[in-house]
Amino acid sequence: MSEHDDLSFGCPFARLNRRRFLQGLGVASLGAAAAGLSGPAVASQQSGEAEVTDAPTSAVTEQSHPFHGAHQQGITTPRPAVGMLVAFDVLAPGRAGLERLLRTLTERIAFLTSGGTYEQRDQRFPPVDSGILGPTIAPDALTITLSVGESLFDGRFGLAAAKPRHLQRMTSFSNDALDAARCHGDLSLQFCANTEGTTIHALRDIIKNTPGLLMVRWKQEGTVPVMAPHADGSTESARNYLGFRDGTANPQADNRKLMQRVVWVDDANGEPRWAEGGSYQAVRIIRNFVERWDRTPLQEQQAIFGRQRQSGAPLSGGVEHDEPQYSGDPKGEITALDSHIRLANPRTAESQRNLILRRPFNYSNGVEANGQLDMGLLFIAYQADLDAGFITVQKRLDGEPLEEYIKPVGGGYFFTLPGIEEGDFLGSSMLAAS
Amino acid sequence: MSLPRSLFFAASAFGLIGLNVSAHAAVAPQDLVAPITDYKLYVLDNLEQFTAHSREFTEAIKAGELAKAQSLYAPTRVYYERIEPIAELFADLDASIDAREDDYENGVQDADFTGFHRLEYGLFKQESTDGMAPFAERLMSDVEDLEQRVQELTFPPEKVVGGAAALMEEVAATKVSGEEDRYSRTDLWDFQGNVDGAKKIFELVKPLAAQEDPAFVERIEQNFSSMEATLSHYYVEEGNVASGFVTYDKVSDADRRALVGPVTVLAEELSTLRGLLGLN
Amino acid sequence: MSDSSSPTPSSGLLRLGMALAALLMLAALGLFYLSLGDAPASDAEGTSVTITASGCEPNALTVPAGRHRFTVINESERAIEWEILDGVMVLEERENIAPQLHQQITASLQPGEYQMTCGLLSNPHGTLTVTAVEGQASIQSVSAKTMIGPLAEYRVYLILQGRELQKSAEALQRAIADDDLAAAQQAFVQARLVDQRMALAAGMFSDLDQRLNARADYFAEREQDPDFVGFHRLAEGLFVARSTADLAPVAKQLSADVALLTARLQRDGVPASQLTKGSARVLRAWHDYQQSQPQLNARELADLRGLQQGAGKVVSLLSPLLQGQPQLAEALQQSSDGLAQTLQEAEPDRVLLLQQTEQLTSALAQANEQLTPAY
Repeated sequence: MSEHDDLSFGCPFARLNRRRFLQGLGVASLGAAAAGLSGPAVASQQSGEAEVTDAPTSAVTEQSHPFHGAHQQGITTPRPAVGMLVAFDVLAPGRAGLERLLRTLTERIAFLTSGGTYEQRDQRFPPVDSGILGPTIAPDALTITLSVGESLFDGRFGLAAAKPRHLQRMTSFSNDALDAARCHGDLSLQFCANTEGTTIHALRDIIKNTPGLLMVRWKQEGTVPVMAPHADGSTESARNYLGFRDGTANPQADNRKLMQRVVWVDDANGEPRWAEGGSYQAVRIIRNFVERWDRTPLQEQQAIFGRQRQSGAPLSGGVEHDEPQYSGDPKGEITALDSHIRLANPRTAESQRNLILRRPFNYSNGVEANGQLDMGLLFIAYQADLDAGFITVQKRLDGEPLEEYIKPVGGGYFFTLPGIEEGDFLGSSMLAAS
Repeated sequence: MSLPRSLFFAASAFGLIGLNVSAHAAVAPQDLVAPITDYKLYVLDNLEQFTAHSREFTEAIKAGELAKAQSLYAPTRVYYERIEPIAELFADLDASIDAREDDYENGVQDADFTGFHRLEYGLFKQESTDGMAPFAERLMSDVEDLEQRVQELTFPPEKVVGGAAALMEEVAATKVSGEEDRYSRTDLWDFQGNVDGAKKIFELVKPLAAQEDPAFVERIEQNFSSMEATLSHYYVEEGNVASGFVTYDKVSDADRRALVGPVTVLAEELSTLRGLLGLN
Repeated sequence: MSDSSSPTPSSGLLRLGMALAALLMLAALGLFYLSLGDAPASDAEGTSVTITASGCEPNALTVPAGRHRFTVINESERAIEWEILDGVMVLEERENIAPQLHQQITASLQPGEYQMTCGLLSNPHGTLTVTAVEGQASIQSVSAKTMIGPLAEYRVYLILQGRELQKSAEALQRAIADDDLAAAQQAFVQARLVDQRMALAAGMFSDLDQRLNARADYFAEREQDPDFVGFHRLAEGLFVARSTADLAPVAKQLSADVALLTARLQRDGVPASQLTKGSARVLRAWHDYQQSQPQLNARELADLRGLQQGAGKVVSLLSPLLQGQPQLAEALQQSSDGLAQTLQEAEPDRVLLLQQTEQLTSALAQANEQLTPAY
């Protein structure tokens, strides 16, 4: 594959014509969208006078991704502006409890990602949902992706025999300073949507519907900067909090054959049959020392990444999606040998085995005790082989100059369950196989 | 009532006929009088013991008996933890009796920080009764004030019934994390106190709840018993809840998870108890 | 109405429907209003019952459900009381009806079979049948919930007072057994004070009230009647005869009755309507009796102190429910406080006490009217 066929996942508004991407159709859903608008908002739009507290409006709340299919959504699906990764401990007692959990999650994800109206209860009872999106929720391009951690396959549920071949507990790399409170988990849920309200609503819905079954272990939210569409229809990768484009070298997600090789697990490489159609999810919370980075000369920044900051083009020349040229630069005089892009993807025939599909979000959490900003990258990557994918790439990156400016503090490895057909529930094949 | 469709439609437009008639209107208000009565008697009984234990506890501090004061800290608090839904109705006393240092801008050093957790800091962190006498005296007078006020209080039924859920929220928020008694590590005592208090309320209204939803009652009972089974792993003497609890750092991760499950189920389920009994 | 096979109602039908619905609503409101209003227009005369030396005439009455007025005519030769009983529970009563006088009682009754007491306690009970009234829907009270807290609190009060009463009754029994007159007098005073605080509750049980609190006048043989027991019998011995002689069995019975009373109260509590009605009833009984007496004696004064304390508890519980009638709430609180204040004096003025007791009784009766929807 070549690098220039990269996809711009960064802008949900620009590329809505993906294979499985559906616009909300029909009068009913338009009606639902209209019902979701508040009275004053409608009135002020008509009169042209906006009130300070009017809800900002969006033309894309009806975007939805069909829940059923061979793979779960939220992997090759275009990345929208908002993401959230939540890791859970499973509290459900025994296999029956786990099955109840998986069925509940399936039912909630199916509802939340397609939208609909909540039942209104007697007012003396707590309401059935948080209400933060009003009585009717729009899909808003929401995807919720369910993955399982290595610890789920311990003795509690009798799943040991069904464990995917490469699933393992994340171990510390040389530059890591892992915080136990932000690592691992029995399950992960990746929420992606156009707006933060949608992901938070979905999380609260799931927590409310799984008492006694799940306990939040850690959570990290992130965003992708939204851009205006280019006049010529071209797209570019979104930038991270270090100011560089991130994901330029991603494999093309609408190339089914390529995705089958890079992302989706099949039973060809010794994986259990039930895992077919799933994928390995690697999650890393990578703190960026942005104050220090901002005090670093541009040429040094560019040398560390191996790209031009402004255009995203490789230092070897061309434009963003041009492939970097290393053959004429064996000593790293143009693109340093230890630059981030050269270590991560040396562009050799051999390194084709190590491709991964990245789906990162930028995060901004607050302030450290020293007054520095706590922000960085919520790195999420999918691959068919965790060892050959993220783990190999990260080992190559160990010791890179960028480490002076970043510090991985959390994350975990998970296996994203295969998709399901209607009537089935996520994880049913895993339960059946053990 | 049989009405022509159009009439029904119009009548419902007036709100005359509720379309969404509550299925939970069967509990007659007067049926709640006896449970509320019994609950007040329970609270008064616990308050009486709370006052007596507080007196012993504060006297030990004033006499400089560190070890005795330390040993009385948790067994005294239990009574307060049981009746928290009522005690916390008096916000001023709840703050001066039970606030934690996190509630104050200047933490432990804050001039307004008093009560059990201030004494806990002295007894277990500084391991001394020095300078604690004024806090002990203040606590005792607050406790007496509380007893007086509760005796005169007409218990609001919705606070009593809602108290079961409130206690489980309390457990979910500060007991599971072990934040409550960070120096003495006696969180499990408080945990059990909250559970006792919630269970008492549930037991009192159980016959009424069972009329409405027997499955609900069964779920609650199951979760109470699985929670108590887990708590029982940490009695000082096996099988004897009266022997008290070991320190919270002894709780295994597996048991902590085993506690969180029933706690969240109970918090969620008990949050519907008021509605089930027709209270606002 | 979401049935797709049925057409949407035409606008004409809809209008008709709305009009009918409005009528229905007015009808419902009217019914509600009626239920709040005073005595029904029909049966304005009420029912008369005459008490003779040997019983009621007629001895069986039938009246319609709802509010009903009874006129009680005392043709016997002594003051009597008249009660409507449901089993042993007293629903309504009027005490101290002087000979040859009429008294009116208005009672709100549910359909069912009741009994009437007819003068002397040894006279046979009469029967009172309350028949259901067609179309008289019982309107579900909208604010019964507001009574839960006060009722529970009052029940707690009764239980705690009951415990105290049991303790002092036992002390009294012991002192009498020990033939310790001074201790017995002291224990009596304490027990009687608590008994009077709980008077409205004890008054609900005709059997117990008779054994605990009935005056000698209500018995055929007066002081010599073998059935004359309870507090008044003990007072005769301890304060008039100044002796514990023959009192041991009376004190023992009193202890047992007090235990029975507390057990019944623990089990059943008191109905909402009894808080105001019962308080008014016991105060009125004291007032009427006192009016028939030449002067105020120390025991009657002490009784009123207990009655006032019990009524004061009720007032403190119910005043907050009368927010809709601030004037009534204030009048109720003031009349209760006024009486309490007068009673703090060592030798309060009898006329003032009579006046203030009457004021409090009438404020309680008004409060009862206002609170009826909550019962």
